[in-house]
Amino acid sequence: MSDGPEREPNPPRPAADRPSGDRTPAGPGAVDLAGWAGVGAGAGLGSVDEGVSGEPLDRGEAGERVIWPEAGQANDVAALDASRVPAVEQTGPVRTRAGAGSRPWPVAGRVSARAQAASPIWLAARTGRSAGTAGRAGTAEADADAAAAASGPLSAPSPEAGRVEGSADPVRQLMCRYRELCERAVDSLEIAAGLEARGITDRTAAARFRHRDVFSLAEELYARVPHAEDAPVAPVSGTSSAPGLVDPVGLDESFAWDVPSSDPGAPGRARRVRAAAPLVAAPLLPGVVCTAVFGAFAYLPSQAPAAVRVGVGAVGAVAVLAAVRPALRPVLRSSRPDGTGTRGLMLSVCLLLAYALYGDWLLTALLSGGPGPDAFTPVAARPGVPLALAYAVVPAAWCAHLFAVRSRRRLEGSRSLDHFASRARPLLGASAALFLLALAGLHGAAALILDGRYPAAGTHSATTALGVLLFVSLLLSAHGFPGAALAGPAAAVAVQAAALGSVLSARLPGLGGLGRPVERSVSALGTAVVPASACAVAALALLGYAWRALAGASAHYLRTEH
Amino acid sequence: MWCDRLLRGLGNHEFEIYALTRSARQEESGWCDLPRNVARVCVAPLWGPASASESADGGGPDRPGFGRRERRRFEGHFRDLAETVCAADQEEGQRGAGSAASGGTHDGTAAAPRPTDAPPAAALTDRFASGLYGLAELARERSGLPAALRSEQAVRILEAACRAPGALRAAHSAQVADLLAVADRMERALRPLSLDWYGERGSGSGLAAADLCHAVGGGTAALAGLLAGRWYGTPLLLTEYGVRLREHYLASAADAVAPAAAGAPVRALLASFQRRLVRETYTRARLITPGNAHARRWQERCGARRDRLRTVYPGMDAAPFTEVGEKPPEPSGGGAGAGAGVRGHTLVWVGRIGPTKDLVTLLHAFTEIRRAVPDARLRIIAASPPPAGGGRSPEDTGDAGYTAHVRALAAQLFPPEPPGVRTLGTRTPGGSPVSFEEVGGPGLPSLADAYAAGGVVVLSSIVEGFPVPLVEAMFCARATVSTEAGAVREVIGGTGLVVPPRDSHALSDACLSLLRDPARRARLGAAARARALELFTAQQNIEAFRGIYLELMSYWQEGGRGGDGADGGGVPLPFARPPESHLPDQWPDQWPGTGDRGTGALAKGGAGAVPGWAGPAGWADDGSAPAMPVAASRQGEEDAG
Repeated sequence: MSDGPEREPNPPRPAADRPSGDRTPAGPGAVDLAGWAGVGAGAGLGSVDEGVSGEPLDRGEAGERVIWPEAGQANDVAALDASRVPAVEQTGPVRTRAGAGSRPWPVAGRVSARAQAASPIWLAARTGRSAGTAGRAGTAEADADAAAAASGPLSAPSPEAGRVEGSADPVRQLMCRYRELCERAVDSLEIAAGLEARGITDRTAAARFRHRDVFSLAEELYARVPHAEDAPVAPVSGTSSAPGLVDPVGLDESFAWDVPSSDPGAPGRARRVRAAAPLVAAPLLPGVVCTAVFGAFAYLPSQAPAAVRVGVGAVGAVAVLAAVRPALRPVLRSSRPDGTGTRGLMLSVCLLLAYALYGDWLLTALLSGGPGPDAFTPVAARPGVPLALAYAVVPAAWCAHLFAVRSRRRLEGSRSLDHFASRARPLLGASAALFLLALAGLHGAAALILDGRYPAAGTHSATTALGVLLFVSLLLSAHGFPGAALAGPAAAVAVQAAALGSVLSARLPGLGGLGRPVERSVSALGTAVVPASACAVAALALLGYAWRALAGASAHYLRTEH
Repeated sequence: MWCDRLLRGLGNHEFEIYALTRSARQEESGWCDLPRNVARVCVAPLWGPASASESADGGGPDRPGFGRRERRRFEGHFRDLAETVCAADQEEGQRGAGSAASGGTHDGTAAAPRPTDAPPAAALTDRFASGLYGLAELARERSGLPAALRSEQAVRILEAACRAPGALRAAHSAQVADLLAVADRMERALRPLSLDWYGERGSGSGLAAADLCHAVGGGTAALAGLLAGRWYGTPLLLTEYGVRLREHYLASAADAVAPAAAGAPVRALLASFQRRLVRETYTRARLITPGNAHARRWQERCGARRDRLRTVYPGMDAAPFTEVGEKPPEPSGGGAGAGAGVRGHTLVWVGRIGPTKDLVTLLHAFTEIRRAVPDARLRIIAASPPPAGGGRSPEDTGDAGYTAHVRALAAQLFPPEPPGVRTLGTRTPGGSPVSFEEVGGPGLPSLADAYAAGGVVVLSSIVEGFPVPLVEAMFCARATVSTEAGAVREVIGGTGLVVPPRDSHALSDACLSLLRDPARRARLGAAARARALELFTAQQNIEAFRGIYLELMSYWQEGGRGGDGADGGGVPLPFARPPESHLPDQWPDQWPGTGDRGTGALAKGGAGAVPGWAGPAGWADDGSAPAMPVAASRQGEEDAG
């Protein structure tokens, strides 16, 4: 908003000299602090109230005359400034044109009049009118007198001298007025753009500030105003928002246990709840669907034909898989949506899950010479495995979100990339460990509920390893590393396929030795050793990659809205 | 909009349009139906994520992604770029202090011998250019530049550059989040580098086949033209009605107060990047056509050479205002439903109500006018389609609140019987003297009627680009009182009154003097109309560009493509390939002696002020590079059609 609304209809136009020509720079007395009319009792300050613009107009013929009074405007600003800042701030240093810029501009309010009094080069320009109360005006004058006494002849306390001092630095008023603009500006061109946007033209710059144009005026302002970056770097507060990064859905606030609720206002809470809703509810979807499928199995009559059971199982599997994508969308939304690699990842994940369900049966059958065409009745793993994996989406999504939010927050406070890396790595380890524990607990609980006993150690570790592998893959794809996210599961699939293939190929004449390693390890540790080792190795490798990749700042770009 | 007019106006040139969009909204707003001489339209987004094929690890089969060698090359080039962006610009300060009087040496290249500070500045400029073009070469050979610009490697380089000695002070305090923000924005700004717009030399498609690149706006929008000039020697013409760099600064300053404020380091680095990019554009452009003196000053300030600047005023369609403008002045007839005397004492303000228009001052001035002329009226007419011409400033936001504020103030100053909107029919001497209306409302079917409704048109802006309402008022032969802002002064010339902004006294005095003097009003109005018809018609703008196109093409040499533009590529040989060689037969009849005119104008350099017109529109945000293929036969066809 402009300053217009605050202005009176008839801005006071006290004494002012009027520049004679368009481009002629005004003399030192051109811009007058409004208050000096009072101090100087009007002596020698002629009023030009005869109509700044009216008088040339009446003589104007055919409109060739362009009115250009500077004085009214100047006084406008002066009056505004004078009425806005306290008297003490109106005191200013003795400043000559040559010295402009050499001395930093004293921040208004910080420099006390007393301090100025101690220094001989400070002069006090009194702005009696601007002082709101008589008492304050009194102190200002007293201080000015003290300054005069302290500095001797250098600072003549006469109104004339003071008037020259006050008006010799019109730029300072400008600085007062546009302090924020000047302090925030990153270079002089920004100040120039800002000044122009506030109605200061080359003409103003020339007439009032004795600069060639707005650019050089802006340069002086830029040189004189202390900048934010000059101040010692403030310790970054945890609450500062990420510069230039936009949290797309306010995910930062979507975890009640993640963000201490500082403002328990009702609208804020409602917003948080709304933002958190997809993140809380969506990951439950696969688990719910999976439960429903098992419920359907339970309600199927035991004499139901095999085709019906297979059909229900297939439909259920497809439904669970289809539910995974919306479940993870809140987590993946910050990643770049590139389609490449998604299909491969989906395929790998499906194969891994298929192995988790039927791999043990297949391996056992292969090792025992089967499966023959007559006895092709696959035996699935215990129902605790799929159920645990389906519900594991919940801790996966939450842990991934936790990692994203926390690392973003650490990003803000990090001074350097290495600093950030050292802060992000523990976070990665913590979230992976959290997920691992959650999955292990889930699997145990699911097995206890469905099967009535704790799962076998082999199955348990295989399921957990698979979960961790998929979790790290999720992290990587959420942070923009689709290639690595695909490579891990694909490698695990390859290892499992190789294990099955080696057993199968051992049946060929002359290749009997191929299947021996798998045979031996299975006989020693059980069939679960194959998926467990494959997934664990892949997960560890992937975790190693993530250790490096996710500790880099470039993994934590946010999708910026524009 | 003005681009559209240009395309239609220059029917004998064939254009290809390459546009960059900044937001989804802009993309959805779509295209107006294009004239027939537009051969091809390419659109690329500067927003959202980089396209899938570019951001993937692998890239397409024809342009494989970055391998180890490319990464090393990328590192070198990006380091050049980053270090120059982060480097403190000594040039800026020095120039302001030193060359205040000698404005001609604003050249980033080592054209003029400069004092001691010149070598580092020139070296920095060169380094920036070499980094930029190096990245462009890389992007041309292999895809994957966007991914590389967002990679950890790029962030590390940026960090090192920020910490290097001699870097900007603000850059020293850059934190990791700042670096990320900068890398992200730079990736988006440099996206034109990895577009497939350029084609191969001799392939007859893409920018390689163009005779001329006409970029609308400096900086990112001109990147494509810059590269075409670099690779194929295509001359670059740059038109800026509002200076992009200035808009960047304004947006950046507005960002600084936004709730999710970008840190000072981010803004400093991005500003530095934009400044260098713009300077490079200005240095390489063969000709720059600012829309007014204000843009011209900025361009000079940012490194444009004076002899390559030529002001081309934006043009406007004068036809809707002809009837009002030609109407004999007052005595004969009243305006729509009102007597002559009433109309003569009516002030009209037309425009988009916003804080920059400073209607508050106008209302205060009107209180004084009312005191002197009791039956004076003020009609504030909001033009619904935004007619702003030059720079769109971020202050335009919050217009609604400002409108309400102004209305409240008007109701307070001039207490009416029923406050609020008043229409023409109810305007009685007893009612409120200030009315708020809209174009298209009752009694004001068109913009021209709005101007016709008053005797004096007032413009009270404190910030103005190219003042479209003023030009419209001039077309309508109205006497005007306007505030000195933006290009007002050069537009109005001597045909209206100009007062300082924010000065209600001066405004009221000027208005009063016109209200009391109908003869003078008529005189001024006639002069204003004559001036506007001479300088600000669309036809003038088109003809100016027609001449400039031919002139630039005449300088372009098929063989001697220096790649560096005129100052790098040796002595330009005019008419090495005369424009007539690929122009239809009838063309010389239309424009006898154009060639001479062109050369003469270029030799003199930027003296001409050729009038024209500019529109806002989505186009202004695009970098479009109309291109005119060499094929004479095709041009002939287009001309016949």
